[in-house]
Amino acid sequence: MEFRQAKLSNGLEVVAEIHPTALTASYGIFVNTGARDEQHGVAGVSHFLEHMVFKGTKTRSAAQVNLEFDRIGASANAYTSEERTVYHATVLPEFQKPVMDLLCDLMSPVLDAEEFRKEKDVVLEEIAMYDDQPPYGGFEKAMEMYFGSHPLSARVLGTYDSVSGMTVEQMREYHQLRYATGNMIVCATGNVDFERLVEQVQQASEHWPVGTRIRENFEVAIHPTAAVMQHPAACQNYWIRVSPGPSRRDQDRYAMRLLATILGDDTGSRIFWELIDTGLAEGAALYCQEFDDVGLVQASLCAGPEEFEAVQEVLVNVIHSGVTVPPSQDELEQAFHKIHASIVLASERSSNRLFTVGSAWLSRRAWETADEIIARYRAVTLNDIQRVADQYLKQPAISLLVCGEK
Amino acid sequence: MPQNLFKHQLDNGMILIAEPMPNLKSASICLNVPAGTMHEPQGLQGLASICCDMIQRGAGEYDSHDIINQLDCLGVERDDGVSTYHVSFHASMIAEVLPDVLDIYSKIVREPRLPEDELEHAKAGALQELRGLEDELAQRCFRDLKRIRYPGPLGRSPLGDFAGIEAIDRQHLVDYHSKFYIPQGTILSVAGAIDWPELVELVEGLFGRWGKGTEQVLPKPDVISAYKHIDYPSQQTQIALAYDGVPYGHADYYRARALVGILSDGLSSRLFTKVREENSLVYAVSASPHSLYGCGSNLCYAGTQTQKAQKCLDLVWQTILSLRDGIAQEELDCWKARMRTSLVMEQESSLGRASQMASDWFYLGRIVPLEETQVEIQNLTTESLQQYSVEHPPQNFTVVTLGEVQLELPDGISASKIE
Repeated sequence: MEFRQAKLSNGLEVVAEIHPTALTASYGIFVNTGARDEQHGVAGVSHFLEHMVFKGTKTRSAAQVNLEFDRIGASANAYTSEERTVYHATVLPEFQKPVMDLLCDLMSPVLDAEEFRKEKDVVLEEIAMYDDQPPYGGFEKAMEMYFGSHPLSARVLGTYDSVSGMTVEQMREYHQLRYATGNMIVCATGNVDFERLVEQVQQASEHWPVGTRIRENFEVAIHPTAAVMQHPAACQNYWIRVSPGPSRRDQDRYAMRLLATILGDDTGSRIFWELIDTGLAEGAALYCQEFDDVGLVQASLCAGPEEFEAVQEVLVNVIHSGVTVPPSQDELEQAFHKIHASIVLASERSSNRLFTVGSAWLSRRAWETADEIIARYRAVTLNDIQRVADQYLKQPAISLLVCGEK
Repeated sequence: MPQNLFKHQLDNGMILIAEPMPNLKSASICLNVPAGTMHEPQGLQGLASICCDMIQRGAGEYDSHDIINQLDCLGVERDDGVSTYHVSFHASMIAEVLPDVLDIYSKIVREPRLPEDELEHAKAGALQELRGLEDELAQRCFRDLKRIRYPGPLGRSPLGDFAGIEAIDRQHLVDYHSKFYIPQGTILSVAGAIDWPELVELVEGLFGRWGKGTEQVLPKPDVISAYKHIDYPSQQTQIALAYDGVPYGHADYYRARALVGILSDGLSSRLFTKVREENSLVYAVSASPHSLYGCGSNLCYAGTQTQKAQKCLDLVWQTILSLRDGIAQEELDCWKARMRTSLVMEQESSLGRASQMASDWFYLGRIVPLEETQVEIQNLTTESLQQYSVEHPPQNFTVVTLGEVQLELPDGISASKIE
């Protein structure tokens, strides 16, 4: 395995983790833009743009884009988060050139007004789909409560009104501003021909807007509140609790992830034994959510409306037990082994490594092998666990209950 | 790449199949025990799932905590599930710990304690899941679709029903376990960084003394054509639809599978192009094959806002029908290219291979080499697909919709409405 990197003359960086014996290769263009970068009035533009990127370029219609991905048997997709928009494809190694030709071409979409109008309806269907699914927009509402006026309160999909009201000119402006060479990277993993990749990307990106884009970071001011949202048809109750945690760049993230595994993993954790094994809840978990500059510790609970308050109290007590009943060495070992195995198993596929390698480079300009990441977890001590428990589990939280009419 | 595929049958009837994958560090198992929902006694729906839960709450010398803590400390990523025919345990791990993991699973299926004091917890968890399904609208539609389409034991949901779960007591579990957790019909499929002779010795040691039971006969399902609408105050209408297909292992399987692929696999597939790209009616639309023993169906799904739902159903139907009008060479080539990639990707995943081999054995009684699948796919022609689609027009429809408005079934879909 080998790591290679190159910085092109236009500022675009290309990185690759190369396994010459891998059966497949995965390629991604990671754009450092997402919901938190959207100006007022265009909520959801990053995600809507991710759809529109597939809707035609100067040389290909939307149908041709789809057909060309299929001709080479590519497993291709894209996603948008608060901080990233990622376009990715996994192919057999012989298809490196055509797949990169396509991915690079997609970065210059025509953003045709008629396609924009049609795709808007698809995005509105996506919003409607999630609004019908538990917890019915509860996670988005909880983020709005937690972050208040901070840009991370933005909904990735936007709202029905914000997407309905968006114009293609606003999207073109956003694209021109954010899809610049200093604000994106090309990443590849698996059986990759790096020299040819760099050569091809250099040529394909010659006309891309250059320069870096600064993301403004703000302080988060938390106002602990508890709210209730009604979804009359819901049979179960859903509860979400959000409090501060370490960011993606914070060295304490390894200790906090281990602590979250001890307390709230889906098997063998304290929450599992108290709430799932006993049948008190349908689902309950505690986990970290990390952004570049801030982080969260989130808890979620799904259970029947009868005796919900008592179940909620059990969950809160388990979270606090991270401080009052310090985790044991056995618990730490168990959590480490789970994380260790999940990293090793995931690293067998180039398509899994793509997201780890690409995100780390985009966020921290760092490359770490699976073994190095495992070593960071191994180095965490019980003292570290206790320290992050004291630091984060005593912090104020916001909470949101989503419930039916019962 | 040449494949080494191995099979061994224990004296008690249990089947062990394996594929060494020397380029991987992991190993995965798929253990299918013939204790699925079709065997549940009438009035005890949910028993197969509760039994699957309860056998993991203590087995042999291990109590419930021991089992979970040991599997966690061994770094086992795992899942279990109940289907019509089987209770399945899937587990992936770093290959060195495979003997320890198989030891635990052999005790779970052979020597469960079925602790009385944990039964109420298991039942409470099952009731939570059953109530939770009422909020998962698409899953709810497909649960009802299966129940209607395959009346009787073959249409049961693993989640059971409220009355069935309430009625279960420990004796039901003891009886169910002794009758259906048996070596005949059990398939253990293993793939990854393994040594075959060592594996055979290990499995003989762990499962060789498992006593025989009475092997069950698998009935052929009856298929019911009907339409059910569920009134529900949602933004989107959920549309779930099934029509006749062929099961895995059938002589026409790859022809039928390619047609479903041309409908739904990939960005240029017909349903995605017609229903989403050209008409913006949905975010999600799909079709997939579904197999029972001796009976196959094609399942379609679409979710769309209420005012577009009728148009969406009509267009899904027209798109299915369009297959009989001809298949373009490009469509078939694209599907073949996608299948080639997915077969190669399967070779990167020990769990993917273990699961596929278990399925091969159940439906065909042998492991299908990847090359054979590749040849089957490469030999397909547009003419043979079109001929198949003309000779086998879509029929025997079962439809479930959920939303604010009941839909009119398009001309050509005849199904009686049921409440």
